[in-house]
Amino acid sequence: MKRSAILALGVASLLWAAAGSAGADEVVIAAQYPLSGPMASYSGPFLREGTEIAIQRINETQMLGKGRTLKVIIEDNAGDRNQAISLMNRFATSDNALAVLGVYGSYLSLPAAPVANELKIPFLAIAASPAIVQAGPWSFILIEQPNDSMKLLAQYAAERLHVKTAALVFDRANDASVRLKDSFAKYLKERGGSVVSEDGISAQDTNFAPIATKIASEKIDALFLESVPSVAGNFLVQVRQAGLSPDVKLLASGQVSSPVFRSIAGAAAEGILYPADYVADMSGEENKYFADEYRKRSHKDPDQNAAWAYTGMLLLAHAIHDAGPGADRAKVRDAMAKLTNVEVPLGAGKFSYDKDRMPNFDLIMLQVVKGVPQIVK
Amino acid sequence: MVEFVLTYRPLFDLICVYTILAFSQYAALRAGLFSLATPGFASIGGYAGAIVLKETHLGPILGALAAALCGVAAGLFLSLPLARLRGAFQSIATIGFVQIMVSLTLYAQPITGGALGFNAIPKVATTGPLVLVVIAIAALLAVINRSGIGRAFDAIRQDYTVARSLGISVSRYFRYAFALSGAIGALGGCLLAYNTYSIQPDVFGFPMLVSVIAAVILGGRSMVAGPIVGTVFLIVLPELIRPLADERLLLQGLLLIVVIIYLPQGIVDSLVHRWKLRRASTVARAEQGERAHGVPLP
Amino acid sequence: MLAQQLLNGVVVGAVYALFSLGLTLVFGMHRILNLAHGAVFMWGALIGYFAVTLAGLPLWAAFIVAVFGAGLVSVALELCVFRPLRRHQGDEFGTIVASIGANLILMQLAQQATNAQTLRFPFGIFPILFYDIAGLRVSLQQLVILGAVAVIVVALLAFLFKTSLGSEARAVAVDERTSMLLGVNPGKVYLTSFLIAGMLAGAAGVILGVAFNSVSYVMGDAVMLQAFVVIVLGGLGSVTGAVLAGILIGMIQTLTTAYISTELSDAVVFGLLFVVLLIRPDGFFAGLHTEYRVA
Repeated sequence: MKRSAILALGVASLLWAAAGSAGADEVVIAAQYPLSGPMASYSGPFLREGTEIAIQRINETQMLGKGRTLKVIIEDNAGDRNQAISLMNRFATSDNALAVLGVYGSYLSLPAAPVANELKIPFLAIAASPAIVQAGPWSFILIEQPNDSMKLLAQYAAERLHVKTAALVFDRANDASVRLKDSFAKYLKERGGSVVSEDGISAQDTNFAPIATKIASEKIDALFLESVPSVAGNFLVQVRQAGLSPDVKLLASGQVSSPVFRSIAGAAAEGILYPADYVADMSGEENKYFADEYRKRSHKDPDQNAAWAYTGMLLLAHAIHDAGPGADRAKVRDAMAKLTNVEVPLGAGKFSYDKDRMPNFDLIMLQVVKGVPQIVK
Repeated sequence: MVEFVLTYRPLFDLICVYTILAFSQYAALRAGLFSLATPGFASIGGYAGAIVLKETHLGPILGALAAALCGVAAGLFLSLPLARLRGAFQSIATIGFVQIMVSLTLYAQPITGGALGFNAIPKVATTGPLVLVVIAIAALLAVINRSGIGRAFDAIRQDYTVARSLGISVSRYFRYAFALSGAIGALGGCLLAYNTYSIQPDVFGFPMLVSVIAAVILGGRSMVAGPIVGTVFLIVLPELIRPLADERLLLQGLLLIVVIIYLPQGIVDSLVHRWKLRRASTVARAEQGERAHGVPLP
Repeated sequence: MLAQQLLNGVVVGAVYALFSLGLTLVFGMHRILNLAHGAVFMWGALIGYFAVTLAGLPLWAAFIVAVFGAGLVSVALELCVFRPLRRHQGDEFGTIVASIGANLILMQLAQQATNAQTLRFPFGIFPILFYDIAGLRVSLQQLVILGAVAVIVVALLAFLFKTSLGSEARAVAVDERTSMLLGVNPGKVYLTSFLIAGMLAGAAGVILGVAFNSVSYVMGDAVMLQAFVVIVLGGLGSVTGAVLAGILIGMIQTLTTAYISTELSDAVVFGLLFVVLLIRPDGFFAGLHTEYRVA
């Protein structure tokens, strides 16, 4: 080859190598959420907003470590499991992400978790099912165990509201929903209560008249509701229409903290009580920043989903920082498992993983009063 | 080169599995049976095969066999009321059957995993075995086509009143067709489970029904090559023209309407038909030419 | 409580009947099993929803707009799909396949129009009032639904038996070729029957969309399945059959959901379909009121 050509080739490869290493101080995290599809209305946009604010926070405070910036790839899995899996593949291979956040919900996260373990990439699922954690050492969950939230709810119901009998309504197609329902039933019975009826509905159902009529005719102190916000709202409207006595206390899981629930249920939701890991007015340094930023951007209060996404990002960032500069995925994973007392907007404000990699932060009780959720003591 | 194969292998596997499902639909339509039950058969076969593979030590081959047998049973069960009835009833009932299978597999959570699906199925149906199965089924169908059963199917498909007057027991052959369609459909579902790591109830729902019927209508219901061509076309086209991939269902709907009106025999059958006509006319023209030149006819 | 559930069943069954009437008429008269009927129903609900939320119409006006809108969608199906098929010598199987294709297209369009979300009519679109009638808690909504369906069915029967267009329709149902010889224009009859079927479906769509507070692009599929059972049970082409079978299926579905489980209610209704197909595929009401049978 001609000498000038060799020189040109040499310079080109040097430039290319330089360009390639220019991103060395950039950390890539990938996130996938249901931004379109049936789940999107109550989750997608909020998850995304929470993530974006987190990116801002992380880069401003140099949470990853000096000189390191965070870049997040956000993709849409459309609520479809196959897409969730193929995105996981893409993130781990061609996108070269250091960790993955999201997928959202046990339904989507459960099939994605084994893939993350196969590809050996740390995966933080915005979900509650312990089966995700059991799928392997690389998959983590963010949401507190149902047992803790349901224990709080059952305790409150039995001791403060003197609830003795309850009808339970849950989403029969959802593993987490069934678990929540069973958990509530267990703790209620422990405190001397009894379950009058258990009815499984499906997120695709719209005609709740038969179940609503049945429940309205039962002698119950409380109605427990666990389903996605839009369906829970619709169900509540119909059960009120069927003539549910106004004396019956309304109890629910954290799903109803979504503003989508309140907008669909309207006046039917008055007085509903639920345990939450998040409400916009919570105190705490981290929440103050988060809620203020959120309100600035979207002109409304942040909801639980946004808080989850924000928290997830924070947790990953702390883990990446703890793992040290130039850490690979394995080190990040180890750091994740050791996270303790990370400042987050959720619950009582501090997040830790216990020895079984289960999340720990304390919950609060909320009640919808005149359409606005209030913290209950 | 390796990358090409690696990237396109899942697509090729998918084509193989869906060709088998299309064969199931073809087996029914071939006999004039208006059954759309294939996704229901696939659901039975998929779960049966997955359960055998994961819960027992019988291995994938026996699993596939068990799946196929369940498919035959399901087909015969459907044939009980439907073998004696007219087309529209068969369609209604088989669409209902597909929906019922989706509901039942959702409901039977302890066995099937319900909405969360049956996961972590070992991938035993790799490309090699898949291709072998496709070839085997194609061969089987070709053999049936040439046999007495095949001729009876043809007669019934053309006109079942005439077939009956020829002494062919329409309901008996419908039963055969249901059993055949059931076996192949169940096998297809089983291989789907053995190839894609996990199955859920909604995989075997309406979208599969549409894909399968579209493949057979597009490719042709008469010759064995029809379902193969149709499936390849339907799966490959959205990959070639990326924007189409998002509108896949819309494309299939449009295709169904356009093809059934303007090319009702499907690609393969129409092409073969045209080729035969042209051959016939060339022979005729050749003979005319010979006669004009005084060549005596043999 | 049983009586209350039966009331629930009758109300939802009446709407199933309304929906199935269109399906059974078109099949009875023209031997066309229009699997896109569910999509017509869904578009009726959607048009009603948009009429209320985008055009700000009151519910009764939106209802009328939706009914005619759905009728037009149905007519479009006849003109763009079934008529060309007939002209190209399509057979019964061809119509089934073509209607599956049309259903798909209509559903995809709706999916895009709604962004795959479930839409809800604005809160309180229908006044929430209750009456105590014979010890039962009856809502105004339920009364209006039953009343509307009754009025529509009577109007339909009047059309079929008291108007000339109606008798032409019945003639075509009996024998298309002969009626052509007698001067009936079958093309006009096809358009009429598709228009009516569409209007019935549209009415059912708005009613269900308001009653159960959901309008989504998949809502047609669920109702189609109930309709299958209704038209088989009631006898293809029978008006009385469709009404009675519709109410019966509504009651069966409601009672199964209330007393056994929601999951199994679909299976029970379909089990019924299979049993009917086994023992009496012509339907149970075919023998009764034969003069009401269109075909």
